[in-house]
Amino acid sequence: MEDNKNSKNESRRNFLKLGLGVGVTSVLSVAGANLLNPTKLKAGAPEKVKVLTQDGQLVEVDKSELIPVSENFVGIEESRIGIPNRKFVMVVDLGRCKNARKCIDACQEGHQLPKDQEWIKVYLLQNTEQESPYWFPRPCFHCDNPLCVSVCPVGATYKRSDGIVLVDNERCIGCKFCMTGCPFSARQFHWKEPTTYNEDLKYSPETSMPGKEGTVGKCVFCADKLREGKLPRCVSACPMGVLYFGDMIEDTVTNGEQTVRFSELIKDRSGYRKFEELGTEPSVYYLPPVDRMFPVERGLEGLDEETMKRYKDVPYIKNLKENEKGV
Amino acid sequence: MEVKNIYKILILLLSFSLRISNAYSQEDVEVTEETTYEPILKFSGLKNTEGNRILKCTILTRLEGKWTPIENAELTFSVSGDSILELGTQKSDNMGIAVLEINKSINIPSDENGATTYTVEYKGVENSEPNSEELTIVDVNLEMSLEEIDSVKTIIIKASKKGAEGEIVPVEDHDVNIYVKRLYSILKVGQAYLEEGTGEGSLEYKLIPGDSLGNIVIIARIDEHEEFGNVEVRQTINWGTPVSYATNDIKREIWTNEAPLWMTITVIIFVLGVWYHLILVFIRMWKIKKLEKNTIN
Amino acid sequence: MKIEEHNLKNLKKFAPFLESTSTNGWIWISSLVLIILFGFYAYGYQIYEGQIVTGMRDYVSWSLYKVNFIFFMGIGLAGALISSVLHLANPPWKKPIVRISELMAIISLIIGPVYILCDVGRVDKLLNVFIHARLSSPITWDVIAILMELIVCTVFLYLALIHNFAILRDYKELKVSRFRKWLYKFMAINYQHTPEQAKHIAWSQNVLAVLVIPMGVIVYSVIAWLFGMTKQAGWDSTIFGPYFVISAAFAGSAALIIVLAAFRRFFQLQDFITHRHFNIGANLLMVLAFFYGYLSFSEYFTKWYGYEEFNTELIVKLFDFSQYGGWFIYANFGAMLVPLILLGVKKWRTITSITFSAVVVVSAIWVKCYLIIIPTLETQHMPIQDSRPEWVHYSPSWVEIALTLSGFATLCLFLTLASKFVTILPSGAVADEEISKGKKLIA
Ligand code: SF4
Ligand code: SF4
Repeated sequence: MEDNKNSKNESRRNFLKLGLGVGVTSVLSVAGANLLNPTKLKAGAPEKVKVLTQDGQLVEVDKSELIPVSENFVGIEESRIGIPNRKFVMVVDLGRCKNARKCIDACQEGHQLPKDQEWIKVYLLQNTEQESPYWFPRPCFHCDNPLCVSVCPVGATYKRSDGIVLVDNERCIGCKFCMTGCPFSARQFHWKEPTTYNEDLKYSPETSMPGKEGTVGKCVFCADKLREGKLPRCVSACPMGVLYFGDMIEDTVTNGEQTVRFSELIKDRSGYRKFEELGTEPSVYYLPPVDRMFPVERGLEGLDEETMKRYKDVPYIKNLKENEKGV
Repeated sequence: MEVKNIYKILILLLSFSLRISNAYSQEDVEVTEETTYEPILKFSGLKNTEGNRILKCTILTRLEGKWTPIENAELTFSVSGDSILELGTQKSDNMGIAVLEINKSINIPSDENGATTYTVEYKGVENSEPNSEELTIVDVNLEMSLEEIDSVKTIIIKASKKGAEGEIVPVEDHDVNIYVKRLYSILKVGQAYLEEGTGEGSLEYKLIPGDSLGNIVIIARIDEHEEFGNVEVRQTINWGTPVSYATNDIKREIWTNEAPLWMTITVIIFVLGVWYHLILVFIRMWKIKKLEKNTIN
Repeated sequence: MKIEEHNLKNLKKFAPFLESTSTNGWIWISSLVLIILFGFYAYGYQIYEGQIVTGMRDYVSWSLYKVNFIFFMGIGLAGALISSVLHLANPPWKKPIVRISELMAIISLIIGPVYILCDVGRVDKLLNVFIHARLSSPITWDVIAILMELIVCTVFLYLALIHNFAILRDYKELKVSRFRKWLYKFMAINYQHTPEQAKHIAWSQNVLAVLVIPMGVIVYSVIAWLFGMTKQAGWDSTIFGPYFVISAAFAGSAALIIVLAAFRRFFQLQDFITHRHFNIGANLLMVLAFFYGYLSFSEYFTKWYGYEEFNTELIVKLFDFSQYGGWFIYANFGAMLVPLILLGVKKWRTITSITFSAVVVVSAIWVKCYLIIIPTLETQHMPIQDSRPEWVHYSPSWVEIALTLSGFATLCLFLTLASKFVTILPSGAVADEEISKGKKLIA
């Protein structure tokens, strides 16, 4: 019962947040910002706002487009067609990741995910004791040869021309074949009716909101953001600039601050793809964890117990624990 | 000074509406804490390729130890000099950014060095302190021409400013960054050094991918110069290499919506084969029924 | 139509079963119905609450439902294979067992797909499988193949029953309700056992019998490919098709032996189902046990020898006695060695021991299905880094267990009901001479 109430409150809060169109910091959205800007509760015609985009261009946009929860709505049919002449790619610089987990928070907030669903997960990888452990963020790889799409009996999950793999949960029958098909455990099932979504949202596969019981969800590369010409939420949220995102056709990726040629980055830093041998051809590349910006233990600082427990089987963590006991 | 008067009225009206909606907001949202915020303003200017000046101000405040943008804050831009000229007011967006574009046709007063001082002002509300910020910019004229010199694609840059007597003085000994426009950002491809004396610089263009037609937007830009602010020119040209990305060479795309032909044929043969025999059997069963009727008759 | 002598004798023997049900029978039926009703309740609960009430989670996203699905489909298809082989080979001793094997086949084939309804998250969207069918998905192959197999098997069984319905229709002394009589009449489609009609039936049965054999192999291979087409450790195997088919035939024959023993006991069919049949069943079990053992060995041997990372992880789990080791031994060695040893020694080969080894085989194959699905899903390519124990290790919930039991209860119930609707031995099953032959063989 208690649980239920909490989640209802939470969804109300989320709803408020949406209604007010603020999402930068949830506290500010509800308490602070309104005091500072009381006019915003006034209803009115869509306001036009001038915005200077990252590349220095001034555009005039509808106010609503600035709302983090996009109202730039793309319907089910439309979202099957990719953004023309694009092929999206992500590069993850493993040398910089310190398990700050900001990508996870931004994703969960942006997609109104329940707290136990993480579309991007941060693994601590270490195969053997001799190898060095490193942090490994894993979104959906939006594979170019995606087994999840191959096995779907109804075409509920599909790959678009811009490389993005999406799920249409209106069509999905919940057979979970795609979950066993994906070798990267990137897909997650709504085992029960989710309560975190604002029910007034109209469903779009590009945002995957609102989620539906008995269907599958996964990272969508923030296709809604991309349509607006913005970077995915995790990319802009990462304080370390670990995640680069861009268009392969333009051969450029950016982490919001640095902009580099994709091909040169991969060549110079020996980029690779995880589990190349499985043949799914991921669209996510990794730069090996060399020249680390942080020692790996930095990622353990300030972790809550729940998250800490996840890594208990990694040899490195096991050793740490044993040493502690020894001392 | 009519503009100014209208402006005052507007502010009056606005503050009135502020009060009304204040009542609104208190009904809708419970406010537990009373704090006074001290916002800061980040002010920058850009002269874009059309020659328009764009003033951008970001308003942030410290909230729970984090810099948090303030949305919908009213920011008033003006030019200070002998007399104060109000340029306009903009509201900040959800990133706390307010932007004002000044058309190049508007004549903005400047001092004998060609410098203009802009001011941005935030008047504050009940629980937020007011603040203001100044920015002084010398107007620079940046020109770019794209030429093929001896079949070498070259970007030529020229920069100048107005002298004290209105003559044109070249901007010298300075780097101009060259970028190409990308989807989410701009990609730096090099620098052009402005030679002393001429104020001219050039950069050889290296091949980089454009869009599907090979078009490319080249941007020359003086970045965050303490004197000039940001100045840029951009130009579209067909210098990019058109890339067509094909998903490597996967010959059997089992993930597409259409199944491979052999698979379709196999399934059809299977289904038809079974149904053919089933129908034969059904016909026999029907015959069994009919046979009997014949014998009875 | 005149009912022949031996059929009349049969009828007299079975009429009481058709006409009324004993108290014990009622208890049996109602307890089965209770279990099934509880299954319905569990299913409703799952629909209402979502699949969170099962033991399934993101990593182990297929579980007991899929286990039962492949298990019942296996038994069903094996039953169909056996019936059609018996029909085509037409050995003199086939008559008493052929109807039972057909019934078992068709009932299992009906139960199997019901588990798919339990497994999918959105039953309401199930029609999308036809509306938006994608031919490249193994599930679509499954849907097509299973539906057709079901139709073919039903028609095949029905053809075999027509004569029986005709006899029941014409047996005026049978004391059953008017409706039932009408049903017999309707089902008998005016069959009078004229030579021409008999010829049509025989022809149709032959055609379908020939059809059932390759179809059974195809259907079950396609089911195996639900797993074989993925990249999961332990599933990504080229021999999964044949391996599944052999295992199914193995489990199916064992299940048939159990059902035969049960019917023999409860319907006093000792005169009809004799040592001879069990003896043949035992031989079949031994041959299949060998093949099953051989395929299991090559499957795990290659994986074990190659030392590939993910396979090794899986194999370690399967061999580890604190995890799946015991079950692994039971499913692989038990299923192979129990029939081979117990039935290989002449002295030990009795109806009881044959039935016992059949029980071992059926349960072992069920465990095998479990071992194919669950440990594999607990062994993902990316290490499972999760702090929620129920996410990492699967254990079935009461909902899944209830629905599993309901499946077995349904099999029993339908077999019972079928035996109350038609005579369990087909027309022309002759007992006496068979017995003497059988005795000679056994002695
Ligand atoms: S990572 Fe998994 S879910 Fe994502 S596209 Fe690849 S196979 Fe599909
Ligand atoms: S669970 Fe949904 S998306 Fe996944 S394969 Fe089944 S129908 Fe397709």
